[in-house]
Amino acid sequence: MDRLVTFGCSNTFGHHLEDNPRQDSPSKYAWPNHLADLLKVPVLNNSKIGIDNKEILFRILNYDFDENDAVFVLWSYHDRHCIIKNNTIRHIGPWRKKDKLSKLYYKYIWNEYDSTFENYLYINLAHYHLQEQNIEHIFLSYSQNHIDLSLEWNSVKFLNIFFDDVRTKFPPAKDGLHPGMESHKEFAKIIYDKYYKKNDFYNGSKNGL
Amino acid sequence: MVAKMDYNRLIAFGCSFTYGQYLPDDTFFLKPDAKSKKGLVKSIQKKPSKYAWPNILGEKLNIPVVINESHCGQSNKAILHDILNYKFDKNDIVFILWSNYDRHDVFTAKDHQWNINLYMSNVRSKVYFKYMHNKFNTTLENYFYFNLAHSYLKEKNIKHEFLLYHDRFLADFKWNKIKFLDVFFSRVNAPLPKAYDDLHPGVEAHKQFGNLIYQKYKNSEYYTGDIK
Repeated sequence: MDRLVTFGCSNTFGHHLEDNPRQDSPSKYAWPNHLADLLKVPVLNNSKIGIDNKEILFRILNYDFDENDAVFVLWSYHDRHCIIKNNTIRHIGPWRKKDKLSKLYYKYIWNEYDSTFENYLYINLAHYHLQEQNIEHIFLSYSQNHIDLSLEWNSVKFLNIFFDDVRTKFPPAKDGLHPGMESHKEFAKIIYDKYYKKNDFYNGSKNGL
Repeated sequence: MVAKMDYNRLIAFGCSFTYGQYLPDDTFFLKPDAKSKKGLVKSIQKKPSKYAWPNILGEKLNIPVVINESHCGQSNKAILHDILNYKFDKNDIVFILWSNYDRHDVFTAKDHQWNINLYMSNVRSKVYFKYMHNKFNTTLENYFYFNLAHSYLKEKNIKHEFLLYHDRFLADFKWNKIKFLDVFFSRVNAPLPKAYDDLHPGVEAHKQFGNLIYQKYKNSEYYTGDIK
């Protein structure tokens, strides 16, 4: 492996961590940096605050990978969405209470079955895209609640660690919601252990945490 | 050239253009003299038409079983959903005529969906097309569906060929892995008599389209021309 390349939302960006009050670049305290230190390789953190899994897929599909990259993706929350129009992206999220587009989306379009289908569609397409380029890739889910083991067509395995479980064991970031610095460091250590030492993927039962 | 046809089943997916909507065995005449008058005929939709292109193609390929899994009004998201949930056999060959971009589906369960269509007057369709639809986003999402279907079938070692109704649905994404057979149903359909609703392709169009798919498939001819 020559480079660690990561994708995700604020939980990969390191939102509200100590070093970056303007939030204009990913935090050096976010889990990708800690994982890169353990792996002794440079890191390219391509995460973005507030994005959904459709935009994460869009970024992966348009990224120029090198053959010796290792790609780690911490997939985001399933209740988000976005509308892409050439170079602009309209984000849809449940926290955007005053945004007309978000309000209409949750009133008329969103439901759990469809959301699960679409998110697994994005995640599986990313998997096939990377697999067909022979790019090593490891997928992470923020929460166990996002996992649906009943989908027979799903080809994706997630590493057996959920950031939401780590987050609750340590103090939060400055906003009181996002994972704090210790959570990010611990999450990276567990990723390293679960993937590089134990090859431990989630099959319905958690090990460790 | 395809040397040998040893498939047991031809499975076709698509919308009304694959179903054969308003062909003679899918049409109920509301008035005895109503032939070819729009609004005076009704689509029966009990089973796909025997005149539809999958049957023509199955005969040409000498495949004993043709299963037409198309549904009228279906979006490409729904076609993908059907493919992902279908039980394929190893000797199946799959032909998919992908649908138009003016429709969408929202699934509420494995067997239930809300139809969203540019020409429907329900609130959900109005909201979707006013606030959530643009050409780039729709094309992008449809190419997600095409590419996932392709990778999924490829991983299962199921032979598959993709078709488009119109070349205006083509797009040039650098990550796209799909090749479409070099035949577009709209071009075949344009000069020929229509079905009984005066809109859908008629019997002769289906016949010619089935024959052309066979030729293009046999010669491995894929579209390599301009993308609009």
